[in-house]
Amino acid sequence: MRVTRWILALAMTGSAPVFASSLDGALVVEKRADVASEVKVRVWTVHATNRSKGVGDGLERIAKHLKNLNYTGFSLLSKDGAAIPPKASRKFTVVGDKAVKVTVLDRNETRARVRVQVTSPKGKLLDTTVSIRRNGFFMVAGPAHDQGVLVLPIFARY
Amino acid sequence: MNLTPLELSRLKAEDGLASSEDIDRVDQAGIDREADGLLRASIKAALRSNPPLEVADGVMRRIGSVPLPLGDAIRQEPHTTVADAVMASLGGGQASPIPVRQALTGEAGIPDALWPSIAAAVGADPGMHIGKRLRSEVEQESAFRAQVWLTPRRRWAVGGAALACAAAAAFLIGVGITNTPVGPAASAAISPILDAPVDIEELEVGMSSSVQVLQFGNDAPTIIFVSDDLEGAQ
Repeated sequence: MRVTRWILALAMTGSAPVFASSLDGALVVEKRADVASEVKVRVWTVHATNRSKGVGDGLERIAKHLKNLNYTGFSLLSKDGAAIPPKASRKFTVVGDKAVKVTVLDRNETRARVRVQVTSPKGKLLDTTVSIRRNGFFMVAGPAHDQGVLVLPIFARY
Repeated sequence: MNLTPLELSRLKAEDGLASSEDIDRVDQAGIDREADGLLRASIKAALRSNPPLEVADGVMRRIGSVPLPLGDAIRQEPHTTVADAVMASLGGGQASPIPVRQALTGEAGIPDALWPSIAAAVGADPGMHIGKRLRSEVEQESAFRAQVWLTPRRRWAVGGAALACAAAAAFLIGVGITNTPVGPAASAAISPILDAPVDIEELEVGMSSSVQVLQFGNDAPTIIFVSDDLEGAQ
């Protein structure tokens, strides 16, 4: 079974397997301290554009990841967040009348399952369910805004 | 022989059993009681002084100090075979042993086998060879069987699963690379990668959107790039 997961990891990532070792690691991590009942979800709104250059204030922490995108300038528009218990949702409004609805489906000592729905006045942009590594984050990017795009780093801390 | 009262009193006095009348009678007769006692003591001592004859010393002095081989004499004496004598008596003097076992079995007869009745009681097959059955069970339990997880059947299953997942990943990435608007709603589900920054379990985009999943290294956050405007997409 473990070899099967190795094969799956190789087939899907195309990179070095980072997964099998984590199986054992997860067992160790599960013995950590208690898991908080709520997941602190934070949603940042970053404007990425080619009209400017550089990374704005407050984005130093994720600057190296933003630079992977094909834009030259990044500026922080807003920060929002909420403590969301499992099975609960919270809707965040971002610029351009777009909304980000975050639902914490479940969480354990290593990961949190979160559903993220991004909508615009035109309709649904994205509906995804992801499993975020504890205290990790991922980014939703792409909604057009002011001759650029919006980048939405979404953090899950607990 | 009749003793006179005076003689009887003297004997009692010698034995120390005399009464006052006996003593008066002896004293009135003018007899010394102490002399009678001394006489008795002298006679007794004379009788005790005769030493016993030491015959052994005399014999040993006569024959000298030559040791007698008594142990060898005893050992060399043939022992008496009591058992042979008894058996000879029981067997009427014949040398052949008594067929006791044959006599017992002949009298009792051959006993019936117990297994058929036991098998009937426990619901087993009476014709089953229980020894063979036990041996086979023991061999089966003790036999070593190597556990190979990657059996030929599992190899096909693993290969199939890997191909399916690879196809799903290729489809997911291909949707974004081509920048082709996905149909009414594009959705894809992939198996979670436990140690990846983010496991995408479900992904669905709108009617006029395209999506790319970007992963710039194991430690980099996963980026889901959605373009609601095709011109805004990379």
